[in-house]
Amino acid sequence: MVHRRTEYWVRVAAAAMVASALGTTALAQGSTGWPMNGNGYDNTRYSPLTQINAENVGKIKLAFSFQLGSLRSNESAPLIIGDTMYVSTSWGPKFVYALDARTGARKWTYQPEVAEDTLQYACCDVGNRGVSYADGKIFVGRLDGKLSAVDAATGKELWTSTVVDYKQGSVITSPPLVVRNMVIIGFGGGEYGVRGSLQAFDAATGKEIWKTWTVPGPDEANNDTWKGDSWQHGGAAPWLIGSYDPKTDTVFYGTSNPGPWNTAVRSTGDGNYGKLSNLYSSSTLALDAGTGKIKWWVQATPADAWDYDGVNELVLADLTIGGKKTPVYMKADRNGFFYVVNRETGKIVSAEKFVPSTNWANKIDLATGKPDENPDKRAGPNHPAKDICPNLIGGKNWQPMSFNPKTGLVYIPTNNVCMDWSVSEVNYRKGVFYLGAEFPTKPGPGGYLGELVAWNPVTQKKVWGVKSDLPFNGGTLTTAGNLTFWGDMHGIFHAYDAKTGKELWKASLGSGIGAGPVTYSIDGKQYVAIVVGRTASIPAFLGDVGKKMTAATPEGGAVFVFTQ
Amino acid sequence: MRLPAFRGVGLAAAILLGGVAAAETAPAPLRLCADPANLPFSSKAAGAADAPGLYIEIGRAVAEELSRPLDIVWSLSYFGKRNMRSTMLSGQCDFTVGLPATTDFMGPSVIFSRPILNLGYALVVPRGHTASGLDSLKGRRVAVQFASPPQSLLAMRADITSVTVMNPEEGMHRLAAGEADAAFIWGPSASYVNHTTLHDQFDVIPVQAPQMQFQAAIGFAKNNAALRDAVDAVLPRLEARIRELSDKYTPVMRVPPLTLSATTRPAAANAATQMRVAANEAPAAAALTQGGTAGATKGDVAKGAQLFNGTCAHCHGPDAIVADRKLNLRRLEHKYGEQTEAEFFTTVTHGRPAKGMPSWKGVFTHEDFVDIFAYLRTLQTK
Repeated sequence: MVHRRTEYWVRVAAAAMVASALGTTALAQGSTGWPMNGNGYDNTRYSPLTQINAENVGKIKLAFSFQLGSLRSNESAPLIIGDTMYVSTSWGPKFVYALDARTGARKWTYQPEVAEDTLQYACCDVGNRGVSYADGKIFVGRLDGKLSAVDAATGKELWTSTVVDYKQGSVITSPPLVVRNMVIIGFGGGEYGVRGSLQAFDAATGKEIWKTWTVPGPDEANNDTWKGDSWQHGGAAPWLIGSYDPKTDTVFYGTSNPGPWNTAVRSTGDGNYGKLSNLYSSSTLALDAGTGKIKWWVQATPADAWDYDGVNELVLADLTIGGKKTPVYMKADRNGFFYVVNRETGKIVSAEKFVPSTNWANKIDLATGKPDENPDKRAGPNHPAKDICPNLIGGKNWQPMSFNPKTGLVYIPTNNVCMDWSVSEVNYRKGVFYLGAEFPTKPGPGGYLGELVAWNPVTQKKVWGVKSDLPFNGGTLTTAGNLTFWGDMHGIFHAYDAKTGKELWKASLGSGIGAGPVTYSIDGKQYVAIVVGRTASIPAFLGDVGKKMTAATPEGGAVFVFTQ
Repeated sequence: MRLPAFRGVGLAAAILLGGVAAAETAPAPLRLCADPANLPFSSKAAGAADAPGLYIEIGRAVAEELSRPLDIVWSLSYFGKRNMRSTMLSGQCDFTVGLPATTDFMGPSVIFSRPILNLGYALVVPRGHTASGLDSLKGRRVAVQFASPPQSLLAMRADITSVTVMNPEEGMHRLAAGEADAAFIWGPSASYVNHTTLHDQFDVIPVQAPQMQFQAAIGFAKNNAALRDAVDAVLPRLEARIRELSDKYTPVMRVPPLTLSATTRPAAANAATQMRVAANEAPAAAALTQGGTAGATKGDVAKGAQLFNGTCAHCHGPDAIVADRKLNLRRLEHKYGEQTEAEFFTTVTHGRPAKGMPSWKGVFTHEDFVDIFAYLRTLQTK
């Protein structure tokens, strides 16, 4: 990892990069943090730590818990920098805390002045997925469309910049990606009329360095994939976390679905969309880190008609495919297909259904990326569609998967939910009645609604799975100790044998879990941390399935930390 | 339970301040749910005191007719349904003026009065310009709202250029700025902007076609049928007033509507998506608090249910289903046995102020209490 720009990097982050990107386990068992949301630029959520392992995980006990002081949609992956845990809460975030990562003792609390009316504009709840760290600063993406930098030592706010006007339905719920001196961030709101963009801000000053529209304008390439002026409100908002490959200096981001829901407005209204594929919606973008220029893209769901938002995280790894080491990104797309793509060329290596009920398309053409659609399942004007799988929450939603280079498996929190879709319902917004889409939720086949799936990305086959009676379960963590950790909507936090899926340990934590767990080691002692506190807005979209989700646990907000 | 308890305290305070006699003539305020910044429908702005909005004035008229004071509970309605869930359906306010009068809109959680207004999309063209149908817009630039039925309709016409706007106000301003030749947007808002800021430069022509015209009603939470019925009973007397108010806020709407032919129906329209107006039953009971005269000795269970769900349910849960055991009136007999009836009447007439239960003496009649008790008797867990 000798690189000219290393001086700009956070030392711990670079260390984690070495460990997780290359799959080494040789890291000293002294102190190992969790420096980024996905534990590195590669978002593998893999830790080389082995002190807690498949042999002894059954004996782990609570080290401490900490109440976040904010209920619902607590989705934060805590960061561990040195001996400090940085954990953010829902509602803005309402708070960011710095805690002693060994004891939970509070060092400081940062309470940003977040506008009070953000709930009105947050389509999918007031969640926050964590903060980012670099160069002694904590960076906080905020529901009110702002980005703040905070002194990591004191909690003092250093600067705040406006990324987007949240009153157009664009809120920020995810942490930025920090590359060198650039704090890169997007925002949400794909179906509410925004035009998506990614922006890089100077880490020192908060000044904008570059901005890239994720829907091209009239003097840019691919603007002609939009009908009329629909590009102006096309969505394609990158609202989740990004990845970064230092070798090629490339930033990777997924983009949301396009808007509005009626595809006739922005495309042809049916599956013969031709050129009108609505780039770069429901896509993966590879951008030059220094300039933000789009190098290439892979669109998973052209002219999306299902709300198959393409933001899911890109997990970077080098896989041996056909005897050849191949640099890839892996993406479990909302659309039910697992994509393995060469991250240096953009060429699709393979794409297979990771949720077996997926029926909107039969397969993906690897050469063109185009789905072989099932015409019965594409709703459009005068054409409601029934029993479409997955439903709009997707085969996988935002909850992060993890990749373990030792087992070679990806651990994916999947959903098995279907829907009917029509554009019919009389809705109401700000004094105006208008047509909304209606999408009654139906349980998927097989008598389960979610499944933790251990997936072999090379053979594109499931190796083991754990079924759940609820969808929208939490993210995963995997370790060199042959462990996979996963929290569910019942608030149960589980540890499994990463190779076999055998449950080795569990604890009931009281509120549904969406966040991904993290692990770290301080002074030779390993800890596993998880934030709990279920969503409240998502179930409202899901009818009876949603009622089961809210009935399962009360709202909550806490971090729990376990150790031996 | 904080809010209902607070409400109870407020009521108790009113009784204390005014004495028992005053309490009998000071009914609880009606709480109107409204958006603070949504003219011509509602505005909290001080400058809008003379014209606080059509829905506010209709709400006032309704409250006056029911002889109840009006409180306005402000909340933004960017997402209409979510706003309803967190306000009216959470018991924070009692009624909302101007909801789509259809069970497709949040039925069965929301129930509706009879329709009070016709609202819909309109074609806005320079004054004197004749618009005979969509064909007359050929080759023109037409402003349409993002994700609206007119946008869907024009999406099917290659010969008309859509200019997408995020709200009707933006549509009017782009029209006035010459960035569009016509606008096909939400009529009442267009009319209001046209009149208040654009000197009636434009004609606002209602468009008759599927998905274009809607009936608006007053909405209530489903456990508030008693209030709904009371409002329905006074609405006939308010017809002229509502028409007057509608003219005040949307003054140039009285032009002959434009009917679009079948060939230009909105793309999304089909039998299943036709507007369905909620079938409002004839109001069963005209008065909110004077019911329950029949069956005074044994009590009228149906009336009791209505009263209970209209008022007591705020704390004790719709149909007396509530998670908190202390508030669970289905356990009354289990708890008090033979003393149940005496305990009930003592509590409702004296309250338990320390626990947030006000006295309802002077608010409900003895007959009301008898009816409510009769209803609760039918619900006791064995």
